[in-house]
Amino acid sequence: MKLVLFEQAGRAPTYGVLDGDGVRPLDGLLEATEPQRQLEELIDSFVRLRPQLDSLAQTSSAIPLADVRFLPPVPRPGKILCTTARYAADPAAPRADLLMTLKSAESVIGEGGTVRLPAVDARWEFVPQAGLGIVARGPAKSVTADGWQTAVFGYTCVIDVMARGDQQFGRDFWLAKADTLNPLGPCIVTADEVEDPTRLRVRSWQNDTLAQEFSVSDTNDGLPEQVAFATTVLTLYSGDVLACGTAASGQRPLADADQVSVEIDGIGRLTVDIQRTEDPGA
Amino acid sequence: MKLALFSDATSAEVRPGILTEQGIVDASAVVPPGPTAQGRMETLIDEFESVREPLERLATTGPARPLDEVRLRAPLPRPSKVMCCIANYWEHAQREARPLNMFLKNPDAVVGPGDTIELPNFTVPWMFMHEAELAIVLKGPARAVPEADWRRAVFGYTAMMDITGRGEGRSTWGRGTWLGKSFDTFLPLGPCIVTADEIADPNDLWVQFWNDGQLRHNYHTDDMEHRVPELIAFASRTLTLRSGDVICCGTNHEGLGPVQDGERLEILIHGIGRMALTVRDPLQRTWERGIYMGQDSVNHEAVRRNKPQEAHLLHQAGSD
Repeated sequence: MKLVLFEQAGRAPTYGVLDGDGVRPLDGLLEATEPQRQLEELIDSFVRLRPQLDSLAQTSSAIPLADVRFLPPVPRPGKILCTTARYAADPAAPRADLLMTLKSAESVIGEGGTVRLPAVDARWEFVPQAGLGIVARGPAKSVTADGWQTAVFGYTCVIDVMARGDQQFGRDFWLAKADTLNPLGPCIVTADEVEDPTRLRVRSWQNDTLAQEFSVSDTNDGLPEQVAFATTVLTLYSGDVLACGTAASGQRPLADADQVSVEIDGIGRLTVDIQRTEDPGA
Repeated sequence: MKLALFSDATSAEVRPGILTEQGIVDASAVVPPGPTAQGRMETLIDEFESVREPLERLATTGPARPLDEVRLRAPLPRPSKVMCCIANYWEHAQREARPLNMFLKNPDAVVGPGDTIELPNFTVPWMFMHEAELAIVLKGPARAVPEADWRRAVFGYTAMMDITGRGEGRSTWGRGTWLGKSFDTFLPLGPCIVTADEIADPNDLWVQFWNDGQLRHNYHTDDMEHRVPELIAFASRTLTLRSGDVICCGTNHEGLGPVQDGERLEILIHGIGRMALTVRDPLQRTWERGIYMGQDSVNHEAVRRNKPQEAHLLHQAGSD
């Protein structure tokens, strides 16, 4: 099942099921009012709600895609954890320990959104890192690699925009936390619909030129290891996002008016615009 | 005004209150409702001016319960983000100012007064240490706040322990990512929020911290390398600050030390309040008790012992 958060003229942001006919809104199904809380309720009550969600195709009419605008399907995650997992790396390259860094909900934008790059001096550049995002089901703590899927509600596409340059003092990780620097979407595909998530293929484009292409199987730190590692350190809660790293190569500096897309087989394609701003950076 | 969250033996409900000399006054009837305790505090921050008078009246007329009858909770149980300064104290050394930088700490790691800090069942970090910090409670949304307008983004202040897993020496485990600071329960916050009007200058506060009664941190916020107005300007250049978010100002590392099973950690910021927690370690690891004196310690005695050639660069503590 594909879940989207969408907006339509005259309608507050609403979750819906995406299918071949369009979007079928989940009207009246959720008690929470704020979208992120609605998602968390949807995750925590999914088994109970499932029959009603499945019957939407019969009981409701679909809104055509032309009439809706997608919003980020995880609009204000409690945490975004970006792992340092690397795919398709040169086997001769030294192996780095798996780690992760935090981003906040301020970084989130969705399909068709604009990444606003802060103005920074010439020592700095920003690069898009395409990857798979796990939408967590929690609370999940000390999950074993074997049981990793117990912590997974679904999957989405993520662009973890990273800052590069003067790495002294770790300023790169701070700049990468700026507002709008973590696009995700266009939808959440529930875990049951992804046959083998450990083999998903991720591709990204920068202005129609293929930038990154990799399988999430092509790594020393697979999805099971990443979930186990994350939950060794902390608790994942429903609606948190684990961005599962990116390919070692193919990251090119972003320029004003660029367009970046990431596509994951079976999930969808997320496209955002890049805008250089005069907003002072850190 | 000192605002707090509390619960008692009769109910798990977390309620807002006002801390007074006599104890805690239940402010549930005056503070607007919220979806969660955090949400309620955020609403209180946003609407504070409209409830200030009834709260002040309540503080003088309402029944106060002694603190030993209730359990104080973290005054912000789940901020949307906790931004922490890296280093940021001069530590009495003569050198150039280091560039200001921050990281995000796991906001789900918040615990409060009387809670337990659980060391992880994970042995890659070689030691776990305490840091004692002044924490700024923010009022938002605030973006690109000029230094001169810093007070507009500040609601109040509280105290924070930045519990940290170390990689080598006193370097935080997870080089560059600061992940060693994001284990569950590594973010003690409290005991209350002191509203900004009660703190004339956040760079004129005295921070003390004890481990099992042994004084470890003991410094003034006057020693900050980048002061509070600059921190607000810096953070809001990168991120939109929200009501109930927290900026932690960093620590003076001269008093760093290990934390281990069974210890009682206590922080006091004069003018804000005092909070104590205990430590539990399922692996019962032990380290030498006392201030960390390793090769990279900035404690003055350690510097004289480990790096005598640098000792002349130390000011006398308290002389500047």
